[in-house]
Amino acid sequence: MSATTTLALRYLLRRKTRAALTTTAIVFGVALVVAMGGMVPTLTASLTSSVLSSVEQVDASISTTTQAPFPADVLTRVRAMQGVKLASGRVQGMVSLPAKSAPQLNGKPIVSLQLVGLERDEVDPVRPVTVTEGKPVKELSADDVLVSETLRDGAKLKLGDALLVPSVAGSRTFHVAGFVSTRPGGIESVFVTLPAAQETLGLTAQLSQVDVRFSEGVDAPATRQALLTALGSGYLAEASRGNTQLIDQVMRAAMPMQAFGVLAMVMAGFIIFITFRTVVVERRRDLGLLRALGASQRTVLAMVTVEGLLLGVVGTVLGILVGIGMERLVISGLAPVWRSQVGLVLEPQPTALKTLLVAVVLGVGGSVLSCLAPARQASRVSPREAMRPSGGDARVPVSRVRLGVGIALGVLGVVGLITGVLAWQSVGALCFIVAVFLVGPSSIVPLTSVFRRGLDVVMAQEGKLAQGNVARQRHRSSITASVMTVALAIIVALAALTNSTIEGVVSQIDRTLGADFMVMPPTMMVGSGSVGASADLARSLSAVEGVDVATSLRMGASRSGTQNVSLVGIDPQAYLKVAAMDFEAGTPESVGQLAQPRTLIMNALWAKQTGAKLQDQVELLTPNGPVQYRVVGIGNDVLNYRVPSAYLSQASLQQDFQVDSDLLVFVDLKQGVSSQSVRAELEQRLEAWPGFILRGTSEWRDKMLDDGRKKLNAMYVLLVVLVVPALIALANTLGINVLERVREIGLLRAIGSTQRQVRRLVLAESLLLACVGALVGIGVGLWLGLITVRAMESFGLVATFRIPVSGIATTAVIALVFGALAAVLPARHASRLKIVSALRHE
Amino acid sequence: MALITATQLVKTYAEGATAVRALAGVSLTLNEGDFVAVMGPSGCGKSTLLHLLGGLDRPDAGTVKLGSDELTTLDDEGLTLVRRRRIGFVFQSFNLVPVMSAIENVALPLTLDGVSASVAEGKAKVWLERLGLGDRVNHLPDQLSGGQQQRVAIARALVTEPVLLLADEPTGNLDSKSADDIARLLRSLSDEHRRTVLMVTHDPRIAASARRLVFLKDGVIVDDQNLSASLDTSSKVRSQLEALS
Repeated sequence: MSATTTLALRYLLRRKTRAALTTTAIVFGVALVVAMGGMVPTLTASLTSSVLSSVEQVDASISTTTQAPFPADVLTRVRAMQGVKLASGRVQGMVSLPAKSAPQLNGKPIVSLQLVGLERDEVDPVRPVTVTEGKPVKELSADDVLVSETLRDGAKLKLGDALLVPSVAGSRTFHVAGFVSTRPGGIESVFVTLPAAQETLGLTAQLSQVDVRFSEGVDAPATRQALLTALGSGYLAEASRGNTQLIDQVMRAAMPMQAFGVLAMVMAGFIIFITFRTVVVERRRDLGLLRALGASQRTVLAMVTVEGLLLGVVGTVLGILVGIGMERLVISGLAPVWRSQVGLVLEPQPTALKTLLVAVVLGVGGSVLSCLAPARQASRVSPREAMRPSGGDARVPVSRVRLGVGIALGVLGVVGLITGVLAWQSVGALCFIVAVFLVGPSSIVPLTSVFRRGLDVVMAQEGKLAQGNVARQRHRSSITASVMTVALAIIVALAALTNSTIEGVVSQIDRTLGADFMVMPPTMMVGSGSVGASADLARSLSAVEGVDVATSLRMGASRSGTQNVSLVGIDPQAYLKVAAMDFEAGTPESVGQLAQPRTLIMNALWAKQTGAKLQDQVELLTPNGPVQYRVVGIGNDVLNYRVPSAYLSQASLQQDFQVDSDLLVFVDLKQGVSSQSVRAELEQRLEAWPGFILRGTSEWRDKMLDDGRKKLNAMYVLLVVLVVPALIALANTLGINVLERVREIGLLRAIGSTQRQVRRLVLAESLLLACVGALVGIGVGLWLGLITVRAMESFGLVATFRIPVSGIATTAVIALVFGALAAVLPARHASRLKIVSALRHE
Repeated sequence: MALITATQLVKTYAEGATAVRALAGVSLTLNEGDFVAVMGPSGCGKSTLLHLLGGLDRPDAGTVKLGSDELTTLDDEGLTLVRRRRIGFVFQSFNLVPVMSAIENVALPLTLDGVSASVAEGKAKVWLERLGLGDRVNHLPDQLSGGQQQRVAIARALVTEPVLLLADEPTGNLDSKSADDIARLLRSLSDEHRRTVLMVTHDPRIAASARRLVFLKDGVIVDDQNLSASLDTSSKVRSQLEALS
């Protein structure tokens, strides 16, 4: 082992606690990256598994690119094609089971299932369904259902048991006629005859998928291509995509978590930077000695870098292991919920090589990068330092140039903020953050003096000494406070963002939702394929005494280019009676224009992404190929602001996308009619539609608000974890300060300071730094929050900037608690120093 | 024969009103096998002179020539090599690397020069045994007494076979018996091993072990004389020091 590596290793082992704390920071960042990177493939694999498993069994599996149903005559066309030996059609859709009658699986009700309709006589030769008990598929009657062995065992189902399934006409009862072997990883499915499924799902004369077997000896890829050419661009000849909209959602949800992991790694980088900076100060004499003995600058640089590398490697390896463990833990916790809510099995996937590479690059690379600057500083230590009596480093003067540039950038930042222009505000924020770091060493003393006045009330003497110490080590103190600033700024910014989003959504609900009631499935599945209700439901509800209007929304899915687009089918005549839109282009009259064929209103998010304007033509992919729609408005309502969406008439949705069932019904009461008087009657009507529940709009609004607040609280818990590195940084700095001042502390004890007074001195210093970090952090955080909210608005998302009072309060509390916590160990160490040996300390 | 020659060395620390002139034109020549003690009151420039002779610092004016090498013209890399191969340092506070054992500390200058650990530790062991520390080779610095630590530091300074040994208050942190031991050791290095030794010290008793005495005051040499072994050099040095101070 070279002298460089030996020294690096020995120094690390000598300060085990510090090495462990620093490594913890790396472990934390890497673990988050790995855990989040691992969960996404698991979730997407689960979403695609059922579809992929079918691909293995057949030569081609035909579906539409959007997974929307298509006309049944496609099957006839496929059967007629050259090279096709057998073809079997199926229809499938998700059904939300009524909580009261849903079968239980592991003690939890299964809230949704996939209902699959099979061609009795054609399915087995093409894609056999293995029935282990009961009737084979070809003997199924209209009311028979086959369920999986898992469902049989979990829900204790017997042959002949009834299974109530919501249908477009209300509900339908099937009887268990047999059990099929469970396909691993597949969606929880139940099988009925094709006509029964079409009737239940409201997909008469439509199919979701056609499975094909080719004749012996044909060129499979060429035949698949021929099928695609014949059917048009709206189709896929192998179902490898799965539910792309759900996958989109999973990816969207996972992105912030991965970003969180990267943020944690940035914080870890800070810790490493600070640790090594303090290491350089602490070892100044040793470094000088090495230089005096003939170690070149490169040798010293290598030694410190190797230390960072060693920490990075250990931290990364541990982080990967912890991350995989975290992922497995979350998956095992999520699996039952995923199974009951989405109907899919979650099986952990091996961690992707890409994720591991990212973790290694971030963990090892980040560690080495973070210690490079301190290592360079170390290599520049003069050999004369070896001759100098120790006693801490001398006061390093603050560079005037640094201060000048910092002030200039700070002023630029403020000017940027007051311009009100997003781009300038963003540049301003960046300037301000850099300014905070630059003016830190100069401003730390006046800032701490502000807080010292508060501290004087409880610990006047200690506060004075602590402030003196901060002033003596202003560079190090300002970096420590900066770490706290960054961590707390992120909390405040995210709190501002979340608060603003909740407020934005709620105010949009208030502006755009005029209906008194909403009738919807208990769980709204994303995209197409969920069973809805026929127009009878809305008709039945509008016939209730006191109801002014009951109008429905229908949901479909399409693609425009490579973009998934949600489709919302509305009744152009009735929609404005129950709802409104925030129009960015167009007027409320635009809704009426939807009655014209192939017109749509884009939501702002999609419009921003494509840059589309009024009267532009946009292409939507239908099962019959692409069609052009004319844009008659750009506007938002509360239901579809998060994903690219388009509003079109229900007639267009039916004509081009074969969707004719309602997924949501708005009910508005006549003037003066109280909702209590009508509610009972509405609920009675809904008994025939067990797949739907009634919600008062204000009740739903309150639920949204409540859900949002719960998410906010959960986020705070998560964010507290982000501040952990700041805690380590603070503890590290205080620890080093104590090490440097051993003789001084010994002197204090010798002249009469009690152990308690010494502890309070360290605590006071920690609190001062934490308070300064929090003050600046709150300011920067609000600024970043404002910019993010404004950026969201500019992208068409709904948000109204609100100052997160609870977020600021949480931040202040976190700062004080962590400030106190960080001081515990260093204060203990300082107070327990032996006076005589401390006085002799070099 | 001249080993190292310093000519008109000037060194000033800080600037403006707070400027301190540590050396104000010092010229000094050391020959092979010389054992020179440098004395003088605090702040007279003793340590600064040692730093400049050892290539630890650069003068504002003047030159230092070690053999045929002009140190003041060498870059950092060149100076590093000179320190590594031709000069040994001994410090007042021993300055052993706390995380390394005695033998590793002694071997360090060699391993820094790319010598394999086994060869370097073999040489280190020879020096440690020569200095009476054969039974302490694997001890960490904090397991050794002050005198033992200083002997380890001297072994480290000698392991590269340097032509010049520079010692800055080598007995400053030792009790009188250990200090005498170290003084005798330095003298024997000069007498028996023909090493050139320059020692900065405050202690007249230790300075008396040298063969030549240089007095510095206010950054200039005020006296430079050979010491006779037959006289009571310790009291002579003390009285000389008092006269000059």
